[in-house]
Amino acid sequence: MLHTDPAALLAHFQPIVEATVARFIARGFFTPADKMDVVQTINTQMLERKLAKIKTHFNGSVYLSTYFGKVVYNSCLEIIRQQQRRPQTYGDELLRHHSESALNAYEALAIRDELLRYQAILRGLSRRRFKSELCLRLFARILLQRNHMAPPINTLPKEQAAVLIDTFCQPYEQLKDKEVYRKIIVLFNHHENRNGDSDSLRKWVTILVDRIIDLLNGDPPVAAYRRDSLKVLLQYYYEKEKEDL
Amino acid sequence: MNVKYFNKDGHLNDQGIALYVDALRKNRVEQLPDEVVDHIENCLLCHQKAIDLYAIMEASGYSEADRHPSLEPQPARRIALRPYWLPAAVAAAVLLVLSVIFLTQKDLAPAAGPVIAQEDSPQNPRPPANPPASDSSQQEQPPAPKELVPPRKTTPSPQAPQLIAANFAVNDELESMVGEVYRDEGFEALSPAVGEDFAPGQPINFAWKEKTSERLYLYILNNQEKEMHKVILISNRFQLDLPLDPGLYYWKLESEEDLLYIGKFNIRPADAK
Repeated sequence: MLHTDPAALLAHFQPIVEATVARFIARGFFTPADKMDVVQTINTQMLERKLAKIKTHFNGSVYLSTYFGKVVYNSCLEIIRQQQRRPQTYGDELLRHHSESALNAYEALAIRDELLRYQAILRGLSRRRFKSELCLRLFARILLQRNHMAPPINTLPKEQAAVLIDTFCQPYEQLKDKEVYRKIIVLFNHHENRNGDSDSLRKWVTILVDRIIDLLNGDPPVAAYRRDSLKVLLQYYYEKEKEDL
Repeated sequence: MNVKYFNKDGHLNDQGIALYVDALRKNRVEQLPDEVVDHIENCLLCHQKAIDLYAIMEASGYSEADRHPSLEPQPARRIALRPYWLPAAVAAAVLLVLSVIFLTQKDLAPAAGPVIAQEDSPQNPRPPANPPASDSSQQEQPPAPKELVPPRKTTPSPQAPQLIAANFAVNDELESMVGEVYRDEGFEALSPAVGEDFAPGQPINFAWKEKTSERLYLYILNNQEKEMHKVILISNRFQLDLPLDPGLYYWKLESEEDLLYIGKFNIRPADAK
């Protein structure tokens, strides 16, 4: 379709155009009333020149839909720059103060966008995901289940496993970071067959958390997370994780 | 540096960002080129763009069922690496040669359906079973050599049974895992039964017992390990209404971290029932 009927391709990918514009509305760059104008502007740009550019530059090494999505995303950023739009940046207040039934459609979309962006960060961790995600749960003082510490907990000596379960499978908000990492380092040392210390682990988690905050705050900025407010997002994410995001 | 994915400033270009997002969506980050992963880990700007695009693509609900052009290995290459596929490959080649001889001896006229092109190979991927009437991708297929093209017929061509048979060839890698439960406790597959037969278009009910209520991923793979369908579930049952071509299929259930189970079922051609 890209080569033979670009207009049909544009129609086929229209859900991507609309999802992109809706996302920028949800993040406060446009108002809901702007939606059709922005969609129309992007469609016109696509038909007039961008589909021809895609035809030239697309090398077939990725899905065309994703590449198309990136071009639409760029178009939205161009419109934002041209019109000097300023976003509404969210901290944790949206997650903290609204019950779901009180959210309007775009607030719900902004929260979903936030959860999906965090999900993308987790997926990108790949092989480091087990350790990173467990540490992030501990950082946010999220109640653990045994399977969150598996598989290494399954081969840990029973007494050590019992200590971890007794500590982290019941509320532990009162525990200081130092104590949390002193206990969990046993699991990671067992898993990685090394002898790391809890202080190094704490520093590693601090770097990880700061990186996630920088990523979520975005460019152009769409959020204003600090360490405390990131905990609210993590608690919300893990509360919702059993649902399909 | 792989110039396909980087611009002159050394940042990921649109194709590079799209590749990373495809890898996130398909859970195939480990298949990415090292330089793409290294760049994402060290470049906040590119990483931010990538997570934004991931969220947008997920929210759009648009997903691709086709094999990924860079992240998913070509099935034919993997077959070539397995010595135990050799007898089957030799038999297929012999059948192919016999078919060609049969067709040329009959002095058959050229026709529209390039059946030879349906043999799976990296150069000639099999076209969809029911292509749209005006599918432009067909126009981009290289023309089949005339002597290999079967006649336009109203009855099935001689190759058809072989092609269907190929869809039922077992996949040794998956086959060795069929029926095994990979979770310590609390999991039991209920349906479909291993090797159960279904008619084309017949709904297939997947069900299992699982003690935890974590999110699970159900994959339907054909016998070449091509992903035909993927669904994210929080319940312990799912009805598949996807029209599948006749062949052997595997279903794979995974959690975020683990493989739980692999089963298999057959879609039998209507006339085989």
